[in-house]
Order: sequence, then structure tokens, then C-alpha cells
Amino acid sequence: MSQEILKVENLCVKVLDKEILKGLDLVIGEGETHVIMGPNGAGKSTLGNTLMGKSEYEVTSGKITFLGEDLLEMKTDERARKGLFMSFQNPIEVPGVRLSEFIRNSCDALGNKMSLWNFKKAAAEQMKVLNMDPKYLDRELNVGFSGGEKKKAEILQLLMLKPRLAILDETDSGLDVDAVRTVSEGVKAYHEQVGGALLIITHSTRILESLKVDKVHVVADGHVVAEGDRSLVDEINESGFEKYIKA
Amino acid sequence: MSEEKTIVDDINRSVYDVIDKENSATRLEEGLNEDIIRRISEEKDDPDWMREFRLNCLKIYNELEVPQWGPGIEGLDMSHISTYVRPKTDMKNSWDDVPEDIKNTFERLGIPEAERASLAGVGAQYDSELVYHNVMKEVEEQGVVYTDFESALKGEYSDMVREHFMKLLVPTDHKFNALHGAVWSGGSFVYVPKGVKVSIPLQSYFRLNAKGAGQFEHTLIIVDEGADLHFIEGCSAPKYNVANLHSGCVELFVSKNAKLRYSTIENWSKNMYNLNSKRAIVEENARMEWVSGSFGSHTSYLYPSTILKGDNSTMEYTGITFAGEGQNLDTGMKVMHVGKNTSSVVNTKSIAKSGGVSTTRTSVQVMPGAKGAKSVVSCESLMVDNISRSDTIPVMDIRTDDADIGHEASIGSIPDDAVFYMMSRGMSEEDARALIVSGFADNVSRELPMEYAAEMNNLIRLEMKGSIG
Amino acid sequence: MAEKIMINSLVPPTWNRLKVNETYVELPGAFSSAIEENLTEADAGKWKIETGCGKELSDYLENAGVKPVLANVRSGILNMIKPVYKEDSADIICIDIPENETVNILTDLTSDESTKATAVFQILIKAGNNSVVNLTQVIRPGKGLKLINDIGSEISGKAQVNLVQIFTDGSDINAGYRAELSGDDSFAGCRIGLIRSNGETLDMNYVMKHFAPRSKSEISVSGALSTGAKKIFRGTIDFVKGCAGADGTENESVLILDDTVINKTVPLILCTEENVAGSHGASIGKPAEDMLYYMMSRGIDKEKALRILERAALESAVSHIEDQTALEYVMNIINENEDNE
Repeated sequence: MSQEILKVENLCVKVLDKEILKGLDLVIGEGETHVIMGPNGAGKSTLGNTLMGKSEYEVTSGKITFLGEDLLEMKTDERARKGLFMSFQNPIEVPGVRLSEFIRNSCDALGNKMSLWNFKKAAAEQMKVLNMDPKYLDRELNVGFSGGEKKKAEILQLLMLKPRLAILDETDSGLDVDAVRTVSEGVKAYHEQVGGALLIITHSTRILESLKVDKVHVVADGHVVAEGDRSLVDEINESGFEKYIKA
Repeated sequence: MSEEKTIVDDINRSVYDVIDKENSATRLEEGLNEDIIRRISEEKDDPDWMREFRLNCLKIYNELEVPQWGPGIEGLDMSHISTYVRPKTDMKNSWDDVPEDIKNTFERLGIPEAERASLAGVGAQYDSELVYHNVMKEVEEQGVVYTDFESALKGEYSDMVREHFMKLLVPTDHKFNALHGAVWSGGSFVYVPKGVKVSIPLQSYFRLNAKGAGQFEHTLIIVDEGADLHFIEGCSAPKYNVANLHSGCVELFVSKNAKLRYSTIENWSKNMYNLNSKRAIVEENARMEWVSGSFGSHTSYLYPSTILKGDNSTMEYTGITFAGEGQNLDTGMKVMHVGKNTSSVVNTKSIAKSGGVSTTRTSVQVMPGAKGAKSVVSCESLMVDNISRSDTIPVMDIRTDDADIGHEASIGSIPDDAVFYMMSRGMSEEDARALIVSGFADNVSRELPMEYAAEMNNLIRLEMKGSIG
Repeated sequence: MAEKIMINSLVPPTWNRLKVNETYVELPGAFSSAIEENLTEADAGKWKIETGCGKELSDYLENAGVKPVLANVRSGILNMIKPVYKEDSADIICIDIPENETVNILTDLTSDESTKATAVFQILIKAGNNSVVNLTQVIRPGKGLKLINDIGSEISGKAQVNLVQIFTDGSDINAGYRAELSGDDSFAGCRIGLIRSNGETLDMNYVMKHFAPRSKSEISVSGALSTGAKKIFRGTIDFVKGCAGADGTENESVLILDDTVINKTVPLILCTEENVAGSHGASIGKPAEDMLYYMMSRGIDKEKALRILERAALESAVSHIEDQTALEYVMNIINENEDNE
């Protein structure tokens, strides 16, 4: 295994007084691609939001180490500046704030300050990969974006912000075949350009088709119930999650 | 983002807060009485009718009550306000001739620079009188008149001025109109002849430097048939620990087929009582546009009003008010639909923070016979914390069947989800909140020329700094 | 001695010249009761509930010796309150609903054409935790009756007060309602349908005071005005500090059927709490041309089409009546009115 960048140990998380994660363990190495699969309500998105530090997600016990540091001690923006990224399942609409303004402010925050000219050039380049019209940069952040447009805008941010570890939370859900392909292209480009690690949270497998997968974790009822290589994806494709769900 | 912050630090309030040593040529004693009015009139060498007008206004002032419906103005004592302060210079038309300290103040505010870059003419008032006035040659050659008010009163256009002066904002309307009529000084007169389109804006900037003084400039703009003008007004003052008063009047006449846009970025210091009146009358097929940003002052009463007199006349109002600590800003607009097929579109945004009080007060009146009137009003308020106050007080008075009136108002806070989303991209909570508030104000900044939009965004960032408990 | 008193004041006020800040009414010096049933006197000290018309009216009634009485209301039935107006009268009816109870109340305020009088009808409601009060009011005073219909309510935790008011043609009316949402998750609903014509006035002041967390209020007004009618609707949603999570909405839709009416709408949103959602929407104007056209294409003449739209305005409020008996009662009145025309 390559050098470890994320280590989750015995993670227990409560949301609104309900225990969702019940002792989850996970280790991700530099540049690796991990997949978290599991039925609805298994706690997959809770894991993503807990890693990113959303306030409603209360960690009751356990430990998360990211690049050797205690992640739970950091606020959300510090985590991002450390190199953590999450592609949101339902990115929020923020009226009046342009997509370009948002990404540029984020790049600045991450220490990659660019002139407007250079920024636009870099963004246009990445938008080509995603088959996105550069005019989107002038649109208000996610306002009136279709599901597919929102996901593309998320992947654009992934390509511009170049994190060490990217969490993709149900990035493929609700997308048509073409959109899934475009998004996969973007994810591949990130992997090639940046060499960062990926944690792909999904309950389908379409986005995985064109990606190299190092490890698959099946999560059910708040913890990892099975682990394996890519073949586990195919198995679940065939027989579903039934055998992992407690009667 | 840390870089950005340095930029914000660089434009901090000090730009506005620099106090020039008071070095005026004349400063009338504080208070308000007939003797003072006569001396102002003498100082200004008024025509007889104007002197009589002033004295009559003083009478009206003494008879009228202080308004009871708005923010308290107990802190304003006219016996402690000097109504006339003449700067130590007469009006120049080259910045090089303006005294160094005054020129430096306007340099810091970026006025000469803006003039070079993007304005067709500039008037700069310092305390009670203009110290600088200049119009681009090409614009002058089009026949556009842009002068200080005193010259207009005596020159070629004196009849036109007399015919319009305080005819829209009549002294009996309310106490502060009467006060203005009695002590007004400075301001600008603009006349745009028939069919002339002024492609770049004119600007007047008002700076009140004298402590415990009032500024009462009068702006009169007449846009003749088919003409087109954009006028920008800016204002600021350094902060004192005594009350200052601004009570200007703006009268706008928009003739048939003409168009006027009037933009204001108001950034008075937080000891200022800003009791300002603005009114436009719009003739057939003509259009009035207001863009208004209110950031400064201790207490504001500001409701630009529009009379849609002519058939097919239209107006659009876009405004933002940001009330921070110690501020009580009562702002809004009024529109009266009189002609047939008139339309008004109103968008207001208000932000209350750190104990500030923001009140959005609007009135839409549709008179009997104003067939085909359309009005759409939208008022949005943002509460940044729970120690501030934000009120929305709209009135609609509709007296015709053939009207289409829509009104929407909403109030809310900065969504936690949006803050989390931005923080997940590395922005600090403070920056995320500031960006969301800027976004909230975006439709107003979009209406402003670029430099002014940038100034407004900087003001918002400045106000949002340190807004997290 | 008759006296002029101030009611329905707007807080905070706005420009005086718009004439919406308050209303003055002339009241007689002495009142009788219009309730025929003998009701127990209530402890006045316990029923100091502020109403929409305001304190000046309540004080005036107290000084005139009008005593609050306790209504006999029970759950499981429709409780009917129908005053009989013959002379100047005033009644203060107190409705005390214990925890977990649900009661349905219908009031029908009407009078004979021969009655020439001034009447004040005041209802004070205390809704205990988890209780539900469904109050439906038909307000249709005869030509000679000047009516003030005034309500105040105190709503405890998770309790609901659902008010439906139907104003049909009649004489001049002043109306007030103030809901104090003092319990967590309390709810105040207020659905108003109104028709005004022939120079009648309707002067209203409705105030939703949100004191408690997650309290919710909904006001909707739908109506039609014609032939010299004057209506003023003041609606205030007041988010008081501490009401985090509160939600208040106000909606008004008024059809103006000719050029002789005066329609004033004053929808205030006041706020000293950060985490709230308040909204107001109004649409005022003539009926959509395509709607009239559509009806006329089906052979309905314009007059009839306008009557249909007036009726629709009332029905949008009627649809919120929970109790079946009350609903039928109100529909009968609406249908009767239509037949008379």
C-alpha cells in the first residue's frame, strides 16, 4: 500500500440524536481510488459530511487522521485547505454569486492566487474536458442549473482546486448516460493531472465503469460489512445488497 | 482569500474618515433664525425672490411638526448645527487650482481619477459650496448645461431654474423640505437639450468636512424631450462625535420620450442625520431609473419618489441598504401612477447587522384613471444576526380596476448550508458570509458603473468583517 | 355619551398622508348584550388578551361596563354563537380550550334591515397545549348595523387556532385579529374571503405575534371589490426575538371590478430574530382577460362571469373550514345570497 493519507478508526456519528455510523473503519493511501457502496440509509453520505465537518454530524467516538493530523480538530475550511474536497450530492444554490467568483475565491483560499486572465484561461481549459460552455462561469452559483450541470460544476471545482483527496458523494445519481460519461472523464482527468486519491460514494456502479478501482467497501447499518477489490462491484451488480442487510 | 483581506484592509474606512483641518472662509454660527437666513442669502448674493423664498420657508419650517412615524431624530438639535460653511476657495475648473488639502481629500475618494476614466463632467462640493466643476468639452458642445446651482440662478437659465425650483418638492411637504428651502446652498443644475444623449455619466460628489455642520445642496435636472442622461451622486464625511446634518433636495424632470438614470452611493459617516428628499416627474413615454446604495449615516430618511404622470411612462428602482452598528436606516421608495399604461418595477434589498435597524418603507399608489398600470415590487431582507432589526412596511393604494399589481416581500438569514458549502472549498466562515451577502446585493451592483460596483462590494466586505461573534 | 376612539392602529406607523395608520370609530356610551343565552361572567383579570382592534377599544368596553363571559363550548359538536342585534350592543366572549381538546365554533353575525345600531363583538381565545380551535365566522351585518368584529388569541405549545372569516355584502365593518403565538410549534391560520360593493367599507388589522420557537402563521385574503367599496387590509407578521425557526406567510389576492373602489394593502413584516422565514405576496387587479374570455366562450355573460369570480374568492377561504356542518352552513348562506341577486 502507498503512503496512508486518510485513516478512519471506529467512527461513530449521530445526526439529530440518531446513531448513523456505528464504528466505521477506513484507510486510504495516496492516489488510491476507493469506493463506498451500500444500500440507502447505510450511512454513506453521513461519512462524507462527517469527513467534511458539517455541524449537524456529531462524532460521538472514533478518530479521523488526514495527512497525519487530527481532522476532527479542524473546521471545514481548514480541512479544505489541507487538501480535502467533497463533490456535493445536492450543491446549494447561492443567488448573486457567480460560479467564477466562487471558484476564484476558493482557489485564493487554497493558496493558488491567479489573475483574472489566468483564471479564466485555466477554467476554460478544464471546462473543455467537461464539455461545458465557458459562459457558465458568469452564471449564478448553481442557480437554475440542471442536475447534470450542477455535477459538472462540482467536477470543475475538483479540477480547479486539485485536492489530495476527493470525496464524490453520489455524483452519478440522477444523471443520464452521457452526463455520467462526461463526469467520469472529469474524474479521470483529475486522477491523471493531480494524482489525488478518490473516495467514491455511490449506490450504483455506472460511474465506476471507466475508472481503475483499488478497493471497495460495502457499508451497511453504519459500518463496513465487506471489503474487496473491483470484483465486489460486479458481485453487487448481480446480486444487490440483500445479503448485507440484517433481517 | 488572505490576499483579498489585505485589499479590504487597504480600503478601510480611513479613506472616508480623514478629517481635514477646518479652515473655512466663513462659518455661520450654529442655529436657525431669520438673521442667519438673511446672512446666508447675503453671502450667496441671492436674487430678491430667492431671499423672500428662504424667509418664507423658515416660517413654514417653524410651523411644521417633526415627523412622528420614522426613526427618532432627538439627537439632532438645529441650535447646534451650522447651516452654512463656505470653504476657503471659490469654484475652480481645474483640480490643480483647488487647495491642496481639499484636493487630496477628493483624490483619496478617487474623484479626479474617475473623472479621467469614465465621467463626462464632475462637480465637487465641499461643505456648503462647490470647489470644483468641470464638463467635458464634447458634452458642452452638445448643448448640455451642467453648472453649480448659484451660477444657474443668475445666468442664462435663471428663468428655467426659477420655474422649477422646489416645485416638485414643495416646502410645505414636510419640515425638512422647508428647512432645505431656507438654508440650501450648493448643488448642481443640469439641462440636457432635446434629443441629446449623453453617453457617459455626469457626477456630483458631496463632502461634508466641517464638524457640527449641515449640508443642503440642491440638485435640479431637466432632461428635455428625447434626451438621455446618467447622473451619479456620491457622498461621504469624516466621523465626529457630534451630529451632522444632510438635507439635500433632488428634483428631476424627465420630459416626453426622455430617459434619466440617477445613481447614488451614500456613505455618510455614522454621526450623520441624512434627511434627504428626491422626486422625479416623468412625462409621456419617458423613463426614470433609480439606483440607490445606502451604507452610511446614523439615521436616514430616504425615499426617492416618482410621479408617472405621462402615458406609457416607466420607472425602475433598485436599492440596497446596509444597516450596521448604531445605524437606523429608514429607506425605500414611493411611486404614483397617474398616466395610462404606466409601469414600475422595484427591487429592494436590505441587510441588518450588529444591532443595526433597517426599515424598508414603500408606497405604490395607482390613481383612478391610471388604466393599464403595472407594478411589481420585491423587497428582500437579510438578518445577519439576532441583535439587529429589519422591518418591511409597504403600502399599496389601488384605485383602478385596470391594474396589475404584484408585491413580494421576504425575510431570511444566511443559510448555514451555503456557508458550509463555501467552507468546504476552503473559504473562512467570515469570507463565506461576506461573499453570500455580496451575492445578495449583486443585482444592485450590476446596475452600477464598474468602479462604483467595486466600491460597493468593498463597503459590504468591510461591514461584514468581524461579523462572527 | 358617544365617543370617538382609535382602533386598528398600524405599529409602526408609516406616512400619514396615505391614511392607513389608524381608524377612528364612534361608539355609544352604553351597550346591551346581544347574546340571548345566559353565560357565566369570566374573571376579567384573567382575560386581558390584546386584540387586533387594540387596547383603546378594550379599555373603552371595560369602562362602559361590558363584562367578559365564558362561552359554553364542547368538543364533538359544532358550537354556534349567534347574537341577535336590536340596539347598541357589545359582547366579550371568552373561549377557554383545555389541553388536547378540539372544538369547532361558528359565529353568524347578522341583523335585520330594521336594526340601526352599533355593535362590538369580541372573542378572546386561550388555546391550551395541543388543542385545536376551529373558529368560523360569517360576517354579514344588515344595512343599519355598524359592526366591529375583534379577536384576540393566546396559543400555547403545539396548539392551533384556525380562523376562517367570510365577509359578504352588508354594511361597514371594522375587523381586528391578534394572535399571540406564545407556545413552541404553535400555529395560527387565518383565511379571509370578502366581497364588498355599494360603497361599503371594510377596515382590517391582523397581527401575528411570533414569540415562540417554530411558531407558524398563515394569513390569506381573497376578495372582490366593486361599486365604491373601500377596503384596507393591514397584516403584520412580527418576529419577536427568541422565535427562532418561526415561519410567517401572508398572501392577498384582490379582484378590482371597476374604477370606483379604493383598495389599500399594508403587509408588514417586522423582525428581530435571525433564523426565521417571513414572506408576503399580493396580487391586485382586474380579472385576467383570458379567464373572462374562456367563460364567455362557454356562453356566460360578463356580469355572470364576475359573480362567479367573486364567489370563487369566498370559496377559497371556505375551503379551509374543517367542520362539515359549519361548511354546509356557510355554503348555504353564500348560495342564498346568490339567489337573491
